Amino acid sequence: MLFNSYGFVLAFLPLVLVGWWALPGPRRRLGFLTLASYFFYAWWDLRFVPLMVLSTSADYFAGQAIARSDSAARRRTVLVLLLAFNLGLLGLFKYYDFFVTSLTGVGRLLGYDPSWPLLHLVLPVGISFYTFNSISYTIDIFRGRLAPARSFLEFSTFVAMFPHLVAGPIVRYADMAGQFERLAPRPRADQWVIGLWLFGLGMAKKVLVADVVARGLVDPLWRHAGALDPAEAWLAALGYTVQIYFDFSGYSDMAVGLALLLGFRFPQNFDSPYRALNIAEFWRRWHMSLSFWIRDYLYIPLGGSRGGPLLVTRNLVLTMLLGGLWHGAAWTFAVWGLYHGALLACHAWLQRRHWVPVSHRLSVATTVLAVTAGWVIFRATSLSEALDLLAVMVGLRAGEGGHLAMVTPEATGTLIIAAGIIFAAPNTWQMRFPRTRLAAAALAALLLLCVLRFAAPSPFVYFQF
Amino acid sequence: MPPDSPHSLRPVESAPGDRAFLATFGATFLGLALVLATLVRFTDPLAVFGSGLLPPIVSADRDYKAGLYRRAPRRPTIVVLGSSRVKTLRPAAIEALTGEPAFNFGVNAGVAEDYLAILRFLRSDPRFAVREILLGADPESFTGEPGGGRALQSSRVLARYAPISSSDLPTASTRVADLLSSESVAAAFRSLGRRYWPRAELPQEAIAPDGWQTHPRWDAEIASHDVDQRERVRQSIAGVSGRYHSGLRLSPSRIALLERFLREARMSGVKVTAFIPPVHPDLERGASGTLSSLTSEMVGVLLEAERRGLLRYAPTAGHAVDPMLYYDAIHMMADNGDRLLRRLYCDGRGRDCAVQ
Repeated sequence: MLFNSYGFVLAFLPLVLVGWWALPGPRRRLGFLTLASYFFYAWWDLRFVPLMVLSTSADYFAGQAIARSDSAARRRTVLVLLLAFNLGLLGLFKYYDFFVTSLTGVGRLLGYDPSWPLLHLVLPVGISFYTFNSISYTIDIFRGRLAPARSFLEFSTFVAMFPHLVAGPIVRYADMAGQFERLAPRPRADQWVIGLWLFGLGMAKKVLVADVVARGLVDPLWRHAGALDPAEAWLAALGYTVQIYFDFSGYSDMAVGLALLLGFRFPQNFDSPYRALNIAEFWRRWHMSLSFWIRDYLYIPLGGSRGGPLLVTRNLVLTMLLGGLWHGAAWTFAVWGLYHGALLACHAWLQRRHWVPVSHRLSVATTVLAVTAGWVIFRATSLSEALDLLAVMVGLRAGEGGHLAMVTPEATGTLIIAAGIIFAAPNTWQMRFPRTRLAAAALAALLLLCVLRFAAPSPFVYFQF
Repeated sequence: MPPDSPHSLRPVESAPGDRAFLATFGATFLGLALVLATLVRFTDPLAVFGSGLLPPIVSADRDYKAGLYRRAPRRPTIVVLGSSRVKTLRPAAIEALTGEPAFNFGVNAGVAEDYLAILRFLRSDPRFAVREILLGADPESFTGEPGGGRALQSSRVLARYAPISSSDLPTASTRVADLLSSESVAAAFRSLGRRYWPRAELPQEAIAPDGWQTHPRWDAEIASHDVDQRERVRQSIAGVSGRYHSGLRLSPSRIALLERFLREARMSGVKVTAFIPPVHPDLERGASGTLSSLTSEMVGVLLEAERRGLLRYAPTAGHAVDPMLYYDAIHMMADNGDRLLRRLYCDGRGRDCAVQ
């Protein structure tokens, strides 16, 4: 079920809110929320639910086993088995066909045809997100930083909670444990006001900005990626830069807003990333819950920034390569990750030499350009398409052009306004929202305007990951 | 979220007006939604509910043409079927070529289910005299999931003949979209505007008693050079080419419906001549290869049906259309339609053609 659908806004959400706040006692309320979240998830495909239940059960019982065990070896064994199970599931559903296809290609180059079968499994929506949620839980228990969940129900609710289930933010159990222990007994008007603002603005970011730019500019131009002239290629790249930000940050705002309507607080996911002064800062501002996750559970365990330049470079590149592959099983994502790893390594090298940026604006512009080039690789359907488009952008080649007529004036206008918002407006979570009746009416009208555009909803970009 | 996190929400503090805010939000949202849904329900601008207090702004052409057909003074023996791409084919031109009365039953957004439903509707007529069907088999009519478009599902005359199962009926989400989509709301306001602030302008569409559709306003604009026709076509190509994403394929279910249509036509003694209505030549390039591969696939289906004696396939690939005689990327003007009809009836048949 999509947040931007009639079923969600007009039926599922009101019913869940009524049920959640009307039911007595934490167990019933958590049970209700978990079942509702499973229903929300099953809307895509009922077959995905047992997989999530299996993953949840494995993590919960592994957490219990680790916490109860006095033997370091046994704790480590359980953790390794659990990681193998979680990553195995992820690998099977998400990466098996990709690696088999790639290895088959390599084998054929070497004159050997392995003929391994492909599984063609459907990728369960959100598996990357809930797997990472669960993994962090078990590792934190193993590290002694977290007590295991008080009950299977609480842990199931944590994994399945529909606001963050399919596209984050990646929430850690440490953030939620205390909130489960102290469930608000009744709704707070102030939380609802902020929650509605975040949900409404997030929806507007998605429906009125990201979708408009995607349909009227990005998609038509990218369909002809091989034939664009330089101006069109830049427009296509910059359009996608805006689209993906508004799409994903809109989703995150909605998730945080929905959590508030249920009385929970989620971490933020975006901090004006396109205003970052360098690529390291960009990654501290973009998809923060993932950035911090890979920092804490991948980069630092690999050695982080300790050690010599070569070791740090290795850690950065490897971390970002895996971060890229987390987004999808395709060479474009792998190369996108490597590209960002290389950028981060360059930045670390410059920092060691105490390099000082020439100007604030130039730094922001350089970072945005570097990120935009990365988005070209990320959005492209193949590496050759990405290279073609990048070559056009830097003037190495040019297609015949003539595709600007496909760009709608609505999309162009929206792109310009969106650029203004990106560089001038505060993050939604930093805003002081007006709380007058007039503001309430305006917010309701804004949400209804979005609802009117639900007839042909488009999924969020990050749902595919 | 830990309270000291640098990226947490501002502390949520209660304010005296919060309850009033929530009450106003709820009342405005529900009130506006109710007003808009009621407006759409009663004006029925897209001819979905059958409750229109005002004339719909789209032509509810399925029901309208069914009415025209029933009222036709002479029972047509040749019927044109297809989507809006064939609506400008002139039955009068067919009659001039063949000497037989013809009727154009092309419908907006026609799909395989429409063709079967229309055939069954024609057969239900006690004075059924159809001898030949000219089927404009544009590939798009045979893509997507079957179930009939919303227009067929809501057609008061044709829905009962449509091959629609209960699972194909509109979902709750579709029914809400009928009431609360930007298209339906905007159409309701346009409908109101036309009713209460009428402007002296030519109609966008007009349908003749023989089913032939004309575009009086466009024709007048083109005749008076008020619009840049090339630019209009170019923009429409931009809009239409978005349909041709790389994953677009012919639907096996809809091809199966075509087969059913052909068999039922044969059982009724109706000969089917199928052709692919030519789109604007520039669209081929704009559609990024997908349209041509779809068309090739469709030609393969039609040739296979011809091999099995279910239809006669009339190729139109080399048809010399005039690029200037298109209203937009896919809709040809009547003069191009006449050329197409001459090709269908003159080429390879050795007949004398009255229409030149």
